[in-house]
Amino acid sequence: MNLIWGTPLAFGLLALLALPIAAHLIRRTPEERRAYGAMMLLKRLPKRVRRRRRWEDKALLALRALLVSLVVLAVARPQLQWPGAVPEFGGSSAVVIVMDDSMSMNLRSEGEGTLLSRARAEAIELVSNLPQSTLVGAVRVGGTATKITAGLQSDHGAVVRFLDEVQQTPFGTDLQGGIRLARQMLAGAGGEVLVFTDEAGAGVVESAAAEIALLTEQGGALVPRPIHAESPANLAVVKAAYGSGPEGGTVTVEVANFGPDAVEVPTRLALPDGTEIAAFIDVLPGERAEKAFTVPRVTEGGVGTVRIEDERLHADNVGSFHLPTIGASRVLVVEGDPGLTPVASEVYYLERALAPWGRLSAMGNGALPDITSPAGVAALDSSVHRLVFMANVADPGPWANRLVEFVNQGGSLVLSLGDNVSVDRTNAVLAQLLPTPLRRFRALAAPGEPGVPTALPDVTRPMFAPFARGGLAGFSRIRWHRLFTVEPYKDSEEVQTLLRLEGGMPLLIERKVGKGRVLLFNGTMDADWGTFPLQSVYMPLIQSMVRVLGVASGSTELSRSGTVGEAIEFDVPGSLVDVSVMGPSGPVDARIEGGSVRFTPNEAGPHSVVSPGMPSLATVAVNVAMGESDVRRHSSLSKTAASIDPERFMHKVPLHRYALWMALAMVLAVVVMARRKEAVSVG
Amino acid sequence: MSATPWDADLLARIERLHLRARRAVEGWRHGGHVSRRVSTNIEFVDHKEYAPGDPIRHLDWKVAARSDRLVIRRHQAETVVPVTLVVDVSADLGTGEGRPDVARSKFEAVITMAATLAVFLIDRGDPVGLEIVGGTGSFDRTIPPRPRSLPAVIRALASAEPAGVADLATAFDRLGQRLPRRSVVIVFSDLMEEPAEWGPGLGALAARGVDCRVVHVHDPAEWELNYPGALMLFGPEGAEAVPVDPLDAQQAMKGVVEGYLEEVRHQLGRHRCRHHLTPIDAALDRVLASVLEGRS
Repeated sequence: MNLIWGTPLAFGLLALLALPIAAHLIRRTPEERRAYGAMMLLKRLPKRVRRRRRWEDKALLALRALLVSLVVLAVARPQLQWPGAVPEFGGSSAVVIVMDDSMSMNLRSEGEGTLLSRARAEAIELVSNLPQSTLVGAVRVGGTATKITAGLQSDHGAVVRFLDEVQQTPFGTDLQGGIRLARQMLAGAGGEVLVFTDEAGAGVVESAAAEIALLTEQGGALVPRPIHAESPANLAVVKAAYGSGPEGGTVTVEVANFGPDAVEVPTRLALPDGTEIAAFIDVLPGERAEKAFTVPRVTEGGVGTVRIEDERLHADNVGSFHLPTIGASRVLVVEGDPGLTPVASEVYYLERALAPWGRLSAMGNGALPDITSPAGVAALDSSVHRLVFMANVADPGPWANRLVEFVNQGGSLVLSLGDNVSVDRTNAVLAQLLPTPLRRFRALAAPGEPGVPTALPDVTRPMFAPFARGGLAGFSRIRWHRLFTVEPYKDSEEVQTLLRLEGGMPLLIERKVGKGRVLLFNGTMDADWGTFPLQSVYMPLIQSMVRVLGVASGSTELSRSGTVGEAIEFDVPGSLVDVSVMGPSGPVDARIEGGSVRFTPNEAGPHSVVSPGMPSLATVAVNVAMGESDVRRHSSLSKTAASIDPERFMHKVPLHRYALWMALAMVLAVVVMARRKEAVSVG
Repeated sequence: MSATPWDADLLARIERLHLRARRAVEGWRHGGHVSRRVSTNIEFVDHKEYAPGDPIRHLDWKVAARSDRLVIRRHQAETVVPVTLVVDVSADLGTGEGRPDVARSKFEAVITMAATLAVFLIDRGDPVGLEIVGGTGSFDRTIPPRPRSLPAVIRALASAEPAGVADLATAFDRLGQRLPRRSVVIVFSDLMEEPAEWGPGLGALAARGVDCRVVHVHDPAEWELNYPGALMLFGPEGAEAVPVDPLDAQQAMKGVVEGYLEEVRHQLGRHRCRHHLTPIDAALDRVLASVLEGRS
């Protein structure tokens, strides 16, 4: 707080203080003189007793001095200044209205509607009362700042209509962009930029400082018109994420309380399969609180939602999260050679290895086989299946692209061979997936001979880890009479040999392709070429494959997280023409161009990219930007603007009027006291 | 300007003073007051008709028995007791306000009292002298006690004007050396000199057996500082002007006056002088009665 003197030279008039002092001193010598015949007695009186200084005299002198001082003070025109004022609208010739229609402006106060409705009403009233000669423009700052009017215009009615049509957005605040647009509208010709905003969102105001400085440099003036709820409060879901934990894992939900009171928040967790879990979360004022929801041991994957109840700001009451399929990996087993009898088929052994006690037990064990013929590959759903077993398929050509896409997106493929396999076709269509091209099958032992045993694997590899505590010797009992040979290759980061025969011939080769993996098993999954399905390691090895490969395919590129108001883009197969995006409330505007789909979500919740007749191409867990949820004032636009143009943001209180009133009161007091003193003297 | 013996103004003042004194004495006598003689040792001179106020013990009972007339035996004092009036006309006496029809100042009061007493005493045949201290004017400051000194006394009193200082100590010393034994001295003064200074002078009078009576004239308004507001008080005898606010000083002044009177009474009592504290507006007959009767 500063005290500014308008006329400091007036303090020279303080010399007038000599007047009451002189008057006081002069008055102390009485005018009346009288001859006195008892001077001898009078001289015996102490001097101080002869004429005391009465408090009335001192008070009178003080009042007179104060009177003179107050008059001097008034002439000096003091003014008290302190920062923090919101400058009044100055009525310049050009005005730009900056309207904050971000998510936080949807905050509701009891009996006052939303902040945006208040801001809109104030702005409309202001524009309506402007002089006709004033040029007016308008800008909105929700999401990315855009012009409401093309530029400055004199038709105030049109501006009012435009302002009246400003609707609430679920986006963040682009205050910086808004002031930039306003500045560009003014074109350096000066004018006022009136900003109707709730100043919510960390860093929003600070980010606009540079633009405010530019505006000020160009002769413009920022006039903040803050719109605040009387007691800002809001509850928001700030985090929802799946993680490990008991049962099927936990979804951790974090709720923030941006209000002054502790709240018990009713919270409802909805899993992708429709299961709902309700709970209450206690949140202290200004704090955040976490709650872990336990997910069932078996549930479908997808996008789940968390919803809380809060009437003040709806947009951030929902949070969404990705949930992997839990409890069972769906395995698509493609039978390429059914065989004449059940035991002559690879699927016979695979099905029993994957689900030894049927489908029910398979869910608990983590593998759920879907048996299909090669034509069934077309139904491959990356959001459902994590692993595909191709067993002795002659020609995978018709579904090769689908398989390549599946693996690239994180799926896993196990390719087992057999007599039925066409080497040339397989090498041709699956070249992108094979660790090394196939050559031909080769006889390793004559019928009746024991065959070539399998070498012991490296148990440090995850796939063979279950055998570290026992059963490893079972591998040596797997003997092979026939096996496919492959083109020579070298182990690398991309290609690894996981299992060999004794003598070094590769049996199981792994290749990383895109986000997924491919296992090439050079033998058969049945007992046609060896004793593998008959050995004790068969079932645990198959299940270990499923577990290791299935987990790796938990998330794919097509599962993303997004933010309301921010554009999301996916690549989709160019052949698909009828692609659409579905949001929680229905179709979302999307632009499909050149093999990609681009859309901007308007609300939180699960979004999916779909095409008729096709499984979901992509899923997006959309949440709101947390900055808008904190509806409390973080920083003041006035303070920021005042740091740039301090003079405009000063509270100014002229004090000379008060000094004059006090001086008048002093005059009355002096008169009253003088008259009283006179009356006492006469008495 | 000093007055000449034929100054008309002086003559008028003499006339007024004499007339005033005479009226006071006549009024007093007709008021039925007892006859007052200052002497007690007497011898027969003649008879006179009894008049009210004459002491009955002086009736000649033999004549009354013989002639059925009441006559008084008149005696002449065996030793004449002269009375000397000491009148202070210093400048301080020129101040004060009394009743307008009696006196405007202490000076007027003192002069009137002295003249009246002189008329009364000389009418009785007592020799009266006068000693004027302080003052200015062309007059005889010292008039020895004589039976027929009234004109000179009246003239001197009328000629005096208040001025200067009294210097009572010197005056008392001088009187003590000069006055005959067993005489009477009546002092008219405001005694505005330090008692410790003039008090020892009274010792010379007391040593000669002088009957000393002091009429202490004062103006109550001065002693009580009874003034309406703050004012500058200056002493006519040359003291520096002093600012005084009566409201502040009255209470303290009362104490000062009491202390002063205590000193005065102490000094007078030491030398067997009678003190007659007399405000200037006091009734003249009462003052003179108390002085002649010797009541303090």
